[in-house]
This record gives sequence, structure tokens and C-alpha cells, in this order.
Amino acid sequence: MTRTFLSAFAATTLVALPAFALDKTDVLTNYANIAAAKYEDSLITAKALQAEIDAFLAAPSAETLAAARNAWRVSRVPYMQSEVYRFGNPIVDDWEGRVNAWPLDEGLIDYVDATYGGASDENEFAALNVIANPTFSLSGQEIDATSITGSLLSDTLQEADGVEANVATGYHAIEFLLWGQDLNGTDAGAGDRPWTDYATGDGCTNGNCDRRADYLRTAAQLLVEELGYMTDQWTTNGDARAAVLADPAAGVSMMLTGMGSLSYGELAGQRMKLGVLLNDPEEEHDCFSDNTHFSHYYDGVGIQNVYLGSYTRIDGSVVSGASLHDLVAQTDAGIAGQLSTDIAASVADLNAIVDAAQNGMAYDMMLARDNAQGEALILGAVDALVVQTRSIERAVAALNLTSIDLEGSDSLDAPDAVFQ
Amino acid sequence: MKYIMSCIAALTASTASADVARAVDDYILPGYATFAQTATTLSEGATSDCTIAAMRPAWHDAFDAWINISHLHFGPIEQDGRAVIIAFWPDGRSAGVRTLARLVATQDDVISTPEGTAQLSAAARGFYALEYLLFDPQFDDTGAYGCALRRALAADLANIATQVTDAWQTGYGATLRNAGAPDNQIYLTEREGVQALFTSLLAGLEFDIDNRLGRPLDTFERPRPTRAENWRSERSQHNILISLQGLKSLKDTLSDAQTPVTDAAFARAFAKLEQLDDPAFANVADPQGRFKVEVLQQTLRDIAVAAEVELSDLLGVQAGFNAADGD
Repeated sequence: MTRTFLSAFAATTLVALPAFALDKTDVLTNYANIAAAKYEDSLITAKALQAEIDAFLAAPSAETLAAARNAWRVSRVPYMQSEVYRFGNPIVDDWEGRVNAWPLDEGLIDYVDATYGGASDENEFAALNVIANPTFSLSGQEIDATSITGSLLSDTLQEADGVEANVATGYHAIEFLLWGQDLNGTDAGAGDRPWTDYATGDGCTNGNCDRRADYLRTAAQLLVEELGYMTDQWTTNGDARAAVLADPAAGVSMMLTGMGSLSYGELAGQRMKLGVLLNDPEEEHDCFSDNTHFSHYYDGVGIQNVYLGSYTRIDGSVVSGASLHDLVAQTDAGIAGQLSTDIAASVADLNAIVDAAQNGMAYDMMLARDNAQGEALILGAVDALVVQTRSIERAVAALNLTSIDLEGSDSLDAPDAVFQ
Repeated sequence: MKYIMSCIAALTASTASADVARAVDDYILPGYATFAQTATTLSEGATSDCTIAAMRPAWHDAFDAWINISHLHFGPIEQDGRAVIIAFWPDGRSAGVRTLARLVATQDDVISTPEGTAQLSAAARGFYALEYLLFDPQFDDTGAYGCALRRALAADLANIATQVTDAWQTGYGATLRNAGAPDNQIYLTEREGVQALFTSLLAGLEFDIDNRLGRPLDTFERPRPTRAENWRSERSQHNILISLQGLKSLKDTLSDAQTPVTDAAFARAFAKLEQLDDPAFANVADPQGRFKVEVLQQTLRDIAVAAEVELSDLLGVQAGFNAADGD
């Protein structure tokens, strides 16, 4: 997708805003346009990240490492807003593990602290350390990893031995390579990998700096390729766009399924509540960089801009058009308004977590066993997300989106798409 | 089939065949009462005799009572993370055993008060933490501290079970029973009450299929018997039976509707369970044993498909979001 196309599309939808009854297809077209914009923004910022990583590897220093880390943080902003597309769209959901799989057993990739432990009951390769080991045995096969290639990371190491925690590619693998382990537990501080882990010659710390650099370079290249693929899926002829538009009722179900599943099972449950209950800083989403507060916040913002049908791009331009809110309001203005209010409340609560983190209480500190204030902040946002899920269910009922295919069992075959 | 179901739906009033009040009175409330009672028995028994041998039978009884109602993921059980604390599984990062081992190694006296125990990681509380303490040899000889830890976790569990049960008996049961009443803030329509129960039915089946059976089965090339739930206490197969019995009670109390396909699928699953003798699902490691567990898994899928088809139109609802909707 080119930017020209996108701007043209945005302009069309702006002038074409209907004053009469909304058509589901208009809402879905805008939904697809916003997806295209979010993935293209993710691609643009991933390319910027790749450029900073190349600059860092060409001339390793504290400054170039800081610039690469900053580019990583920037790249998370549009990507996290795209997560609302995950659960409703099988094309996205089948793919997303390649870019955002989490949590990971980072010992697969590189050296780790002694407290990390070794192979676990669940994962024989939790401490494989491919950067230090050019050859190794994986499920009875001898692997030649002397050259760190995209295929090695994507096809061999990613989910090696069928274990999801073996994450070799994507944002979090890159995050680990830029920051290293956060060994501060629930105390202040993020990962503190020295830039000299990438130094050439005698200055190299922790060994294998050349292989580490190869890994980082390859992972950045793969991220750009993957986001290019997903951007293509949402162009005029893209498969993901076609899937959304194929059946208007099903398409609207996909929108609401994505919003509800991200709100409830994923963000409120897996990513937020569980960390509090386990008091475990390894349960935070961006655990190496301590960027978790922003990741959660932009997940929430993504839900909001899909509902309201208006997304502000990284360059400040706006993609907007017929909204789901207006579609629901046509049938039941009360439910439509309540859902708007609920989403605004969850975004405000997620923003309060950002404020607290920026004022010194990092997300992992909020997870400490005796930090009642941090726990209250996180659980406040969890509660707001649960409340908005109920309103999403009411919107589904109001729109009378009955099961599209009762013959199959969507709740089992595709547990993330219960309404399809 | 789809066409026929639509016609039936058109002919019947949307929630005419649902009976939320009966599900509350005949299934949910008695189920929670048994859970609170057996958890209290476990805790009181531990107070008088904290040996592993003495605690095991009471732990089994309380676990049975829990599994019977464990698929009800709404209401008081969702407050303060109670469901996660009672039953933290699967534990893909071994957080439970790591925390328990650290407590024992450091003789951490945080467990000397109920408030202290309540601050522990959820992974180190509840049924699965107790299973490690009662069935994993590494915790056999933990002396006085092990005894105190077992007592503390049993008391913590009994406390939560009692709180949840009280909440159902003194308020939440009425809230659900009166779904759609003018002053009901939680269930705005009767249909929302039906939906909560229908979602629980499907989510419970999904959990059995994907986790209780799916985790040990994994792939043909790489079965994983030690990922079976409760393989240490050899309850893996038994849990499926108790779970299905609970789900069947939920379905039967919720609806009088004729659901012949669902009922037949349940009957097939119970028959398969009777024939199967693989208490810890250890046999998934060989092809023949694996096949039997796969067949069982398929019968559960049949129940789920049938229940969705037969019940969703009859009850006038579809499943809502459930906690397993993430990844």
C-alpha cells in the first residue's frame, strides 16, 4: 500500500460521510482503511528501527544504542494500536506470533543470569543460547547455526520443539537484544545490556559479539519483512480486507470480537491481572525495556479508535469514516453511548498507569508483593476493561449478530473468534 | 441443520426454555456449598494432622468439589483473582514450584499469618501448590516448615472457598436468579443471565479439550505426558469425569429443551471414560494410548459442537467472551 492511496482513501471517506442510515460496508471499509494505516505506520517505524540498529552495529556506542532503543519504543506505538485487529481476523491472528510472541524464554537466544535457571520441565531449550552455540542438537536433529539467517530464526528456532516460549523473532526478541534481562526484580530499573556486547575485537563483552550483531540485524530485517506482508494484506486487493468485507454481518462481528477478546482475555487477563496475582515482573509485557505502561495504553487507544472509526497516524494525518459507534447508535443509542463512556474510562485508567510509571513507579514496581498503590492502579484498569467487555457483548446483542456458521464450533476451532 | 435450527428459533420465544433460577438453586449453590465444606474439612484436618498421608484424601475431596463448579468464571470467583489463586494451571513457567522451593529454602515466615499467606504469588497458593507439597518427592522431608506451609495453604484455600460461597448465598445468587429485574445492575436482561451460564458451559468444554486433554497430547511426534494436569497425583483422567459431570448438571438445570445430540455425545464421553484406564495420561507417549485419549478428546468436541448448535438458538443466546480468549 502506498501512502498516496491511503490519503486518497481517507479523503474520500471524509467527504462521503453519510447523513442517512449507515451501511455496514462503509463501517467495514473504514475499519480496513484504519488497519492499513496502522500496519503501514508499524512498517515505517520498523524500518526506522532497522536503520538505527544498522547505525548502532556499524559504530557501537552508548549513544547509538540509546538511539536504537528509542526507535524500538517509537515502533511500539502504532503496532500496539493494531492489536485490536488480532483476535477477530484469522489472517492477523495466525501471523502475529511472528512479530509479538510473548512471554519468551530468552535464554534460547543469548546469555542469561545464573538465577534464570536452565532447561525447564516445559522447555528443554530454555537456555540453548544460540548466539554462543553455532551447532546444537534440536529434537534429535543436528542444527548448523554457524550463519545466523532469517530462516534459522523463523523456521528452526521460532517455537522450537513446539514450545511457544521459544520466541526467536519479533519485537520482544529485539527488545531483549537491545536491553538484556531486567535483573532488578520489582525494584526500579530496566534491562541494562552494555553497548560493548556489540563491540568489535577485544572490547567485546560477554562473548560472540559478532554473532549477537548478526542476530540483531537479522531479527530487525525479519520484522520489516513481516510488517510489509501484513500491510499488503490490507491493500485494496489484500486478503484481510477481502475477508472483512466478504459478509457485512460477519465483518462487524470480527470488529467486536477483536475489541472484546483484547479487552478481556488478553489485556485485562493475561497481561495485567496475572502479573499482579503472581507478583512476577517477568509477567510484564515489555519486561526488558520497562515500556509496558505504554504498550498497555496503546492497546486501549487502539480499541477506542476502532470503535470511534478515527485513527491519527504517526505523521499526524487522520484516517476516519463511518464508525462502529454510529452503527450501534442507529439501533440502540444507549448502548452505543455507554460503550463510548466505558472505553474512555479504560483509556483514562491506562493513562494513569503511564503517569505513575513516568513519575517513577515503573510497571514492574507496581507488581511488588506489598505495593498496594501499584496493585490498585493495575486492577482499576482491569476492572474498567472488564466493564467495557460487557458493553461490547451488549453491542453484539443489539446488532443482532447471530452466529454465522452454526455448523462448526467457532468457540473451539477458533476460540478467539466466538462470534464469527 | 443450520436451516432447521433457525426455524425452531423463529418458532420459540427467545429464552422460554432457559431456567436460570433452577441452575442457581440446584447446581451452583449446592456446588459451592460442597466446595466450601470440603475445603474447610481439608484445613481443619491439617490443623490436627498435617502429615502428607493424612492430608491427601481431603485434598482429593476438595478438588473434586472445585472441579464440579470450576467452569463458572463469573461473579464472586472473579473478584480479587480468586479463581486464579484457587487453580493456577497451566503454569508454563513453573512459577508455582519455583516459589514454593524458595519459601522452603528460606523458611520464609510470611506464611505465619493468613494476611501474609494471602500476599504470596497466586502460583504458590491453591490446589496446584498443595499438589506439589503433597505429591512431589522434593517436598517430602520439609519438616516443621513444610507442615506449617501445608496448613497455611489449606487454611487460605478454605478461607477463599468460604468467602465465595457466602457471596453467592447472600447476594450473587439472587442477582443471577433475578437477571433482567429493574434494579439488577449486573444482568440487564434475562438473556444476559442465560448467556453467562451458556458461556460457562462452552468455556468449560473448551478448557477440557485444549488444556486437560490437549496439553499432554500435543502432537503425535511430541506427546508430553508431564504436561498433563495433576499427573503427580494421578487425577488427570478423573478430572475429565468430574468436569463433564458438572457441565452436564449445568446444562440439565439450565434448560428443559430437548437436546438429543448433546445428550448422546455426553453419554459417549462417559462410556469412553469408563473404558479408559490412564489415570495420569502417561500412555499418550505411545501411539495406542494416544489414540484412546484422542478419541476421548473428539467426543468432547462433539459435545461442544452439539451444545452450541442445539442450545444457542433454543436459549436465544450465543457465547460471550471468556477469559481464555487471549492467547
